[in-house]
Amino acid sequence: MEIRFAEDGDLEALIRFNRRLRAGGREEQITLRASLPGEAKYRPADFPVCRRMMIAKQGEEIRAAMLLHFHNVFIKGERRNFCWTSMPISEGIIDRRHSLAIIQLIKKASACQPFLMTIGVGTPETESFRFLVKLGWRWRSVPFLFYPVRVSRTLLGLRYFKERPKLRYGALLGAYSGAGAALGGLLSLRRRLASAVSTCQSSEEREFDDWADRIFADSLSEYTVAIRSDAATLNTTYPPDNPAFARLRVRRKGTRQDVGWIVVASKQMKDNRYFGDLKVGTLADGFGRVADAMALVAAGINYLAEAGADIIVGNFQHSAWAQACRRSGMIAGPSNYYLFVAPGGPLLRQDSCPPEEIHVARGHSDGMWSLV
Amino acid sequence: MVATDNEILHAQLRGFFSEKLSVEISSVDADLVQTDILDSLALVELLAYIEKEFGAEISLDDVEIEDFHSIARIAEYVDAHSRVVMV
Repeated sequence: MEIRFAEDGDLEALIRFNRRLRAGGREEQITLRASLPGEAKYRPADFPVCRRMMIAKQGEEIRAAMLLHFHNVFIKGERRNFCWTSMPISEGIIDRRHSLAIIQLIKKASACQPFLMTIGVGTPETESFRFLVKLGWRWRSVPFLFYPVRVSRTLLGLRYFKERPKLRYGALLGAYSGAGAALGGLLSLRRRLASAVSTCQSSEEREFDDWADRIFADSLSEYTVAIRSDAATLNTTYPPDNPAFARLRVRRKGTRQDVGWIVVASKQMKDNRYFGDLKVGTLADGFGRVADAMALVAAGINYLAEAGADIIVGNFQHSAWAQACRRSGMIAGPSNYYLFVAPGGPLLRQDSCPPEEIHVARGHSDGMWSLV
Repeated sequence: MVATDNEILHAQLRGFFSEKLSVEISSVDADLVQTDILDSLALVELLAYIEKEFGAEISLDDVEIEDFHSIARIAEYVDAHSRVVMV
């Protein structure tokens, strides 16, 4: 088995790999574009943030593939290289003769960069979750929060309610009794009042610039663990020419002093396994002083509510961000979103690296695949 | 009757599949791959077990899935790579 980074010449083999998975009845597909969305246009030369695909190839055929998103994380202010891993897919899921390929691939990736992390993964019952646990990866749940903008539509549309008989009747009652509409009205009123008395205001920016660099430099010391979020990283990740993302710059009213930023996205779902046909807004990413997290979250919620989202979702590990979401009216829901750290990474321990002081959001790694 | 080293090894490996994976293997030559017993999850567990129980150093660069097709093949692999001497 040859394990290496994919090259342009591997495209046909990747297409055949995806075709075999589909023919084997699996939905999983490896992306054919390994690089980050903004890498070609916005990544400075030799910049450490980039994404590459690693493949396990047997003869002419690819048997397993995964993405390695090279990145920097700041742990107590010290910069460390690490890799987000995403989409590890093996042909072993349809043909056991290739079961070994994914193990060899991940071992090789660990040799290339021992500090690997991934987020998402799936519920503890899924193969991918159990696989990483067996490989000795440590994990933490990342809190999930949601905000029903159109409460009745959300109650009727969320699969979570539909699939649980007791909740389903409660949701139907809430939607058709008028309680949902009343709650929606109250939340709307609360947003308008909060906006009126807020000391901050937001503006939509086309791209991240020097101001984002300043925010990152000024706020970094407040986070025990933070993923690199300067302008070059952000433009590479959320490229200016991608209309799926809105970049909101938040400043103080009057002084116009920068407070932070938040990236949001929305998508009209169609028969989605979680959201049915709802329009889902996502608080994808954000950074700023910890004390201003609530102003940033509120800016994101207001923008998405105005953009017609039925429901707004977000995943934030850092306690200040999770608390800011709750104080902005978001509700904590059952999370099936996890942060995994490979054995070669730091221990997520209360005394050295407290999980609630790690700033991880949905936009990091591949958390936005299905939400934009 | 005295069991040979090989028979003991086979029994240990059968025990692994029975205890860890809740699968009874009918024959030491039964194909674990074709019968879908040995998926990547089971393989991770098996590799860890072999390293721990038999002190085998497994270099994943050299390993082939053929080495794990049956209990008999796994036993051969363990025998060739184990640092634990059976007495």
